[in-house]
Amino acid sequence: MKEVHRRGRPLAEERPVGRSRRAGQALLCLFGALACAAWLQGLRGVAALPRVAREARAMCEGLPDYAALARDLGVPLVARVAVVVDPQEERAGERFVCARLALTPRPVEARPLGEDVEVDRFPQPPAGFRLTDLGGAEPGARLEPKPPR
Amino acid sequence: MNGAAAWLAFVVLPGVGGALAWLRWGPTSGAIERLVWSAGLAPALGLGFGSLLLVAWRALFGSPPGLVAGATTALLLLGAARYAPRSRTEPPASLPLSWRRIDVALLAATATITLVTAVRAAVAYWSEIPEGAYDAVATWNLRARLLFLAPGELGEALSATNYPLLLPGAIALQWSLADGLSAVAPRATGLAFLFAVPLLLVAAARERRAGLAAAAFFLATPFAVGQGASQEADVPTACLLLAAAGLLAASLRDGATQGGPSTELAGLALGLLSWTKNEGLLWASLLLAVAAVTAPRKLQRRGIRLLLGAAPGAVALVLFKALWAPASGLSASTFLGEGALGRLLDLERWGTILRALGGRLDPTAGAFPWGLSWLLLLAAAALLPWLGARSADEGTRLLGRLAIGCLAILPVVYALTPLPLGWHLETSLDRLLLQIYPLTLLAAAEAVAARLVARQSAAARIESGVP
Repeated sequence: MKEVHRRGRPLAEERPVGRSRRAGQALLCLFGALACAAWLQGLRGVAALPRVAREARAMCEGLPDYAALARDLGVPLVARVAVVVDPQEERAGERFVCARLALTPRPVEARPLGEDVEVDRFPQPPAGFRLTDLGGAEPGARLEPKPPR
Repeated sequence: MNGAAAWLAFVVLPGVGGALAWLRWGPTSGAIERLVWSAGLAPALGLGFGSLLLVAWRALFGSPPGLVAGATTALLLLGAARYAPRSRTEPPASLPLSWRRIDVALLAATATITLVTAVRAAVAYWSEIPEGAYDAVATWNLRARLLFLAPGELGEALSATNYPLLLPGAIALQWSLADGLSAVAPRATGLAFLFAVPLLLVAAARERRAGLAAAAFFLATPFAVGQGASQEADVPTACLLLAAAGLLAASLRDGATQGGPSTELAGLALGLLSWTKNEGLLWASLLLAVAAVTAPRKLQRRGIRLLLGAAPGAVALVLFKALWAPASGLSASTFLGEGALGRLLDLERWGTILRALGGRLDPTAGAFPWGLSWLLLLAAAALLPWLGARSADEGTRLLGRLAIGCLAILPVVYALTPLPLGWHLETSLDRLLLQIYPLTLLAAAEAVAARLVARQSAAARIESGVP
């Protein structure tokens, strides 16, 4: 006796070969064409990545060498350091992130220019702080070493 | 520092991870199958397990990291040697889908062209963007430096963000082994995970050529290659999710009563997945839930092995969250806290989310080049009912349900987010999609291949007149 599905339809493999099979094959061909197009388009994008990489600026490129500045200043490894950043300035985020990376393992905090620090005019520093002019460095490179907690 | 030492430090950990997988599978498996699985799992196991040990050692003893590196390597090798003889289970046989020679030749050519193009892109990122992308510098590489350089107490050093530490720990461990900072470690680690994904796709697919096609699609996805080469944590997360799901699917398919080595390795990958990124915990929970629904009895029998494997990563995550991670930042409680119901029922938010998701189907929209990838996966899902008989295989069902579950939970996560919705979608949706992309490719390849096999065998039976 022929095996049937519980709803009474023949099992898929028992159905007659005909229109539905041809429709399935046509759909498979369409899917294959879409797959080829997807692969080719993706490959084109991956092939363009070297150009993207060349045109992208390396994260810390063109920013001051914060590690060298800290060495010159003699900032100890356990000192907390504040980096003065002007939030309006281009690449302000990168300045802070690259300073943090270069100054590790010192805990680094960002001090926004204009809130309580005016780098160019050097106001009276708050108690316990020592502002240091790095001479010729950009505002983002000015470090503010603090005594260890 | 010495470049050769940096390279040696990088090679030794994945090498130990690969050896661990190779030995665990035992001598009864096919050599090529064992080799592909071992190579695919090498970075995840070697670097992931090494990262766990480094952080544990630093937390407990704060001793010079060189000792940690030695202890890590020794422990991994001893563990592999000790447990290797016990494995006796063969991985499941591949599907008997018949291919014409021309198809095989085309596929081999496709895979070769794709690999060469992806390697060329990776080399360009290596030399042109040595520090990696913004998040790599700000989060992962910075914390690796803290682990390696910070003296004494780790609490303050690690309290900046609540992200887990697989990548920072793996990089710091390589610096420890090489006894100095080098740019090789973060770059090589990122690329190791990137190229492990296609290997895992080939290993985990029962129909190998379907796995090869999925691998070719992955490496022909500009966003995936770019992110992997940018030293970010999303490709490692994707790699571990794929490893855990692929191994668990293999475990459900094998004949051992309590699961073979793939069960323990699936557990290990599951634990390491939650140790990579916070989202990893969500994917790991979802995988366990889907497995419990798909194969409750088998999961029950394999439960202890699975949980034992997951324990190191899970314990490290719990301790990290309890001891060091700041209370601030995103967590389940912030998503489900005040106003969650209102956000969930806000139709305008759902419209924004669905529009953002729909944009990923449009190859011309957005700044991120997904191309036709998601459209192809959608087409694969739509094609399935036309291909005839369903596969009764539990592993294939697990992968399919998990992929659907991951895609279905994404809009819910965004509906619940307490962060500004537009900004959150813009900054994270593509990366979350990337985390589940290889799994979705595998699920689609497996489902289509399984149905094609059923279709071919049915046609052969009809033609030969066999009932």
